[in-house]
Amino acid sequence: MKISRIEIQDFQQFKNLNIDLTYPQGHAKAGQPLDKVCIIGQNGTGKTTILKLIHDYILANQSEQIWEKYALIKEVITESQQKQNTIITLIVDEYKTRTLFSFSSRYNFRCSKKGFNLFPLTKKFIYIPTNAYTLVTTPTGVLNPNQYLVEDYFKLNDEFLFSVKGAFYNKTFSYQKAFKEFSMSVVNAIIENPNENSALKVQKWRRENPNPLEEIAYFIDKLLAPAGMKLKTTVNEDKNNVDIQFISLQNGNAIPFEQLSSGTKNIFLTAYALYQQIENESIILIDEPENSLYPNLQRAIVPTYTSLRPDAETQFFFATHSPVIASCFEPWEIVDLELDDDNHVVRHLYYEGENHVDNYSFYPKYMRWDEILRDVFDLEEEGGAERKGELKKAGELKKELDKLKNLGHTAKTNDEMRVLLDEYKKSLTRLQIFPNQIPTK
Amino acid sequence: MRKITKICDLSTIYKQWEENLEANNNPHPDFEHSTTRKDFYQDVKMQLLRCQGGLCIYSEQRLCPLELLTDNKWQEGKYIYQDQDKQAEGDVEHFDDKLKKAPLNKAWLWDNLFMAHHTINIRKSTKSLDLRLKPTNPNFDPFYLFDYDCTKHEFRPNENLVHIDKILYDAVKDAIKVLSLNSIKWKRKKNLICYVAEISISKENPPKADVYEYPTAWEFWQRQQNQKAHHQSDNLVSPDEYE
Repeated sequence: MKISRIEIQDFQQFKNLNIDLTYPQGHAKAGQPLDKVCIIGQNGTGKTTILKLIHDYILANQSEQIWEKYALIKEVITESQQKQNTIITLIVDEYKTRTLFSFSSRYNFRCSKKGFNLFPLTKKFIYIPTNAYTLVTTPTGVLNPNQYLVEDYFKLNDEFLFSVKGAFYNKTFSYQKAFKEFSMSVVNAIIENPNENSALKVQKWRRENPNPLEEIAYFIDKLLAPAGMKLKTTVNEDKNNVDIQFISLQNGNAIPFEQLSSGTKNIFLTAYALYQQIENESIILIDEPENSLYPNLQRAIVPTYTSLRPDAETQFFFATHSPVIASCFEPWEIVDLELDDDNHVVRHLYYEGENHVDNYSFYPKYMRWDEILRDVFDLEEEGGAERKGELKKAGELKKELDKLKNLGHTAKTNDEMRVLLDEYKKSLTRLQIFPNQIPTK
Repeated sequence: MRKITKICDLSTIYKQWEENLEANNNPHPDFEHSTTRKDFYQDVKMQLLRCQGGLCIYSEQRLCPLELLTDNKWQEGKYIYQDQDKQAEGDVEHFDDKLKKAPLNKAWLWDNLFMAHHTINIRKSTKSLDLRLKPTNPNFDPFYLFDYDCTKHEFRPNENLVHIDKILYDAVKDAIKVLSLNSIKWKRKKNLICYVAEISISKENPPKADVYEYPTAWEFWQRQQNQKAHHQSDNLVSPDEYE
């Protein structure tokens, strides 16, 4: 069960927002809810708010203390916006439209009882907020506990890390112990029968009893490789010294978890949390997955995370400011939020006319990074004001030099040209362009 | 990397000494041997730079200005050392590192010596390259072995080699990595931009640029531009074709 539409009326910066989350006509899955969604937009256009709304309303719907949960949302809305006629609707498909709750100016909060069973209690959702690891380990804390239901967000904190270490230890220790016992049995068999084919036996055992950490490493190493390391698939057998270790691809040295950079810690724990938590019919919400990550690693995360998708009913939502992340999506998977003339949030549509695959005018997957910045992230200029000024200067120098060239050889023109040429070369090398790349206008 | 011919025509004292060693099959002194080094290192260095046009044999960065390489800097087979000559940078490099030490003991063999940028010499360290990549090899042709990406300004092995000689392809690939030829791509691009700028305002016919460094990259760049121009002219529809 996936979300196929979100309608938000009179809530915070949203006046009347209607987000269609289905595949367009002409697509093999036309009309079905999207497998993955990427929310982009200027700061303040509500990307995180939408992720939180999805999270909180599903959670509220599942909770036994539902009225308390809704009361909390009600309080937030009342205090923050005091909007009239707030209605937020999550639609799972066109035939099961459910308004999860509506809210009037008289604070007459009511909830659609039909919506209660929209998402079954078993529905799994994972919400990883921005900088999940660093946020929860910051002593002052950045998350506001009074805002929404933050206590239910996925926390990649020290407690989680401790549980991961424990899981690693238990899984691998059991495996190593079983392998030792098996090895002893093989040795004994060889003693009894020297013609015994032990190699085949070991191969068979390994095939039937995979090292659990190798399975995790197969997934996580794709993300660690750009950072020059891989997961160590054996653990220290000392129970008092349990740690997750990594191996440097450069020199083979072991790297303890604590020595990882904040970005690598974040990506490891996020990836592991997904690996461990994901199950059928999950909804995964990841806010700003690009934080602290170098672009080549950003390129790897969306395909790697979504490769965990266990069934067709699992849906991923990413909110991002990164053109590299956005380049991992089809145009219909991108929800581009922008402010209209009245400062209300609207969705910028990438198609004209009917929502059909043929009517989309660009595909971020096939575009250059600078084109994505220009066409998707609205960065109209190809560079800053300094570049613009330098381009103008180079153009003027070129004109001057051409003029002198046409005057023919004289000592004066040669001297003048030498001076101008030096300036021209400096200008071009600052711009990193060849003369034919200077814009004519 | 470009093809060069090495002639030891000015450092005659060193050359005579080296030929004597070779003729008598005597082991060479250690390359760090202080007296030998004092006698010949500077002469070998300046003679090599003269053969290499003052450029690093691998990266083609300039190691010394051309005025230090003129005949009048030499007297009776020795380089006349002056303070200004300190401007000559780089290290004397052993193409085949094995010749430097025992048991071969040919540390001063003229044929094996080249001038390389200090950083590249450190990176190459004791690694040896495939002999077919030696710039004095009669069959050495950088335009056959390498390719040049004019967008990124990076050297690549020529992809055609994969099908012709995979071992040579891997050797070229390895050499690019060992010598870090692409670590200076920004400097190389900067120079190429300057050459193009010079050509664009050159009053000579055909226009010329003062190619002071990176001549191989420049040649690649020119060849690719000519190819592009040729390709574009091929695609133009002639009036006859219209008819």
